[in-house]
Amino acid sequence: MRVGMVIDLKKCIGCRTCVTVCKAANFLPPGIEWANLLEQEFGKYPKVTRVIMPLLCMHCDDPPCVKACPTGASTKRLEDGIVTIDSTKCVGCGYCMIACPYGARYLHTRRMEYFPGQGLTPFEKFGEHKHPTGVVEKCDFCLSRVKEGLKPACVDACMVQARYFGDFDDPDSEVYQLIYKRGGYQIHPELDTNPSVYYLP
Amino acid sequence: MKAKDMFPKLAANVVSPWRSTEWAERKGLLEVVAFFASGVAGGAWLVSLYFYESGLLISLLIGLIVGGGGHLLVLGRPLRFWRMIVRPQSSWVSRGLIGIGIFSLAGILYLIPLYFSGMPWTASTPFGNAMLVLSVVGAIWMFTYSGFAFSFARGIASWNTPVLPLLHIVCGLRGGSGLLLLIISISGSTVFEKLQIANFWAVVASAILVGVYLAWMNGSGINTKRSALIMIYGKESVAFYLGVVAVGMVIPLVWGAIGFTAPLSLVASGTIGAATVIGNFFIHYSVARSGIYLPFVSQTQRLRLSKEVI
Repeated sequence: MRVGMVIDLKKCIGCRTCVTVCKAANFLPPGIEWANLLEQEFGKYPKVTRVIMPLLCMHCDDPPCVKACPTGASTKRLEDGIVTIDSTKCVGCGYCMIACPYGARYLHTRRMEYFPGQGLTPFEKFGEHKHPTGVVEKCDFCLSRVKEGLKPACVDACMVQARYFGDFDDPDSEVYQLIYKRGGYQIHPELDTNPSVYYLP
Repeated sequence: MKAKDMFPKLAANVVSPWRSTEWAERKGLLEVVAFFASGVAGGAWLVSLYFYESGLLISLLIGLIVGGGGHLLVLGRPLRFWRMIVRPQSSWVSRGLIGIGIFSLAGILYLIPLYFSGMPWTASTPFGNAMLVLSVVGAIWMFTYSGFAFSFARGIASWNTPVLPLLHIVCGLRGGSGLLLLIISISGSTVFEKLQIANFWAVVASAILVGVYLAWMNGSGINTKRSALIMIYGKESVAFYLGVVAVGMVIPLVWGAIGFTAPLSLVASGTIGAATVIGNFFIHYSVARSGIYLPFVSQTQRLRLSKEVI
């Protein structure tokens, strides 16, 4: 089984619900966005256009980050292809961050508060243990939810249902059909990483 | 500090290339220092074995303390450093640290009988010879692995080239000869003419390779060309022209050429050596600072994906 995500760029409106829900569901500290969204505007008023690009870990089939990791903290699960990081093994060298062409990894250098000077909120305290400092972290497709048969939080939360999640190895799955029928593409296929996140134009 | 300075990834645009900052800024620069020091130490060890054995100890100390220590200081969890040697089958950092370890251990064991009498082995015993061979292997690895570590990054087009490992190897030898010139001039010993000649040609070789690297970047696509422009015309051009060209090449080459016609003083040799080593650092620095990742969306894709803003 190889799970992955398909993002419909035609539907995406850049509302950042995915970013916010990911932060909430995973108790992400400030400055770390496992689900990122880039926007860029072009042109001058009144002819202005905008490109919106949701980004996250691509969970590549041939992940350069796993090969680069000197401690074996980064691994690719055989059962579903999700790339994970074992924070007990990570030394925070950042070599995986250099190797990743998609900028999907973050080094959690020091503890930061959402309300500086006021201490951690109960919400932040609850999730603090999930984000040790000095190690690298990234999106894990909400592995705990996937193990229970649920979809990642960003997929469920998307207001316009622009995100799809499923098994690429199943020809009858929604994600497989969307890629086949709508011409889904990957970012930087020439790098031979074979990402598990496809975009629909 | 502005948000975009703290979190550079958030400032990345969709169609613009974005800078690699992990080895280019703040604590990441220690990694560049570590690569530079490892390379110079490895080169100096080899050159010292041939020309001047008194340089061995300093080479070892630089490799161990600055090279190895630099790699450790960068870590978010330095006490777990021992885990970094478990993946040599795929990780160049793992391979490099194993090389540093072999070099350090073998070098220490080789040098001990040179400085302390009464040891059960000497440099000429089989064990001493074995340590010598291992230290040579480790030293060669010290200035070889860093180039491959850089070239492993597929997303940074200007690093993904076979020229870079070759440049690192030549820089290791050049830096080693430069460091030994500096050590000899400080110690007040007689400068070996052959060492000066070796240093001169090492600088020539590195200058040619830097030129080849720039030419390759210019002709390999728009993103590598951008990296070249950053290095030559952009913010990093000061470090390039001052550090790499003026200090790192002009001084050693001009004074080295003078040395072919007349013997150079210790001060002149020391200056050549220092300039060579400084130039080495700025070569590593310029390459690290000019690395940029490929943009997420190409310009043609951008036209297809653009939405009108009402």
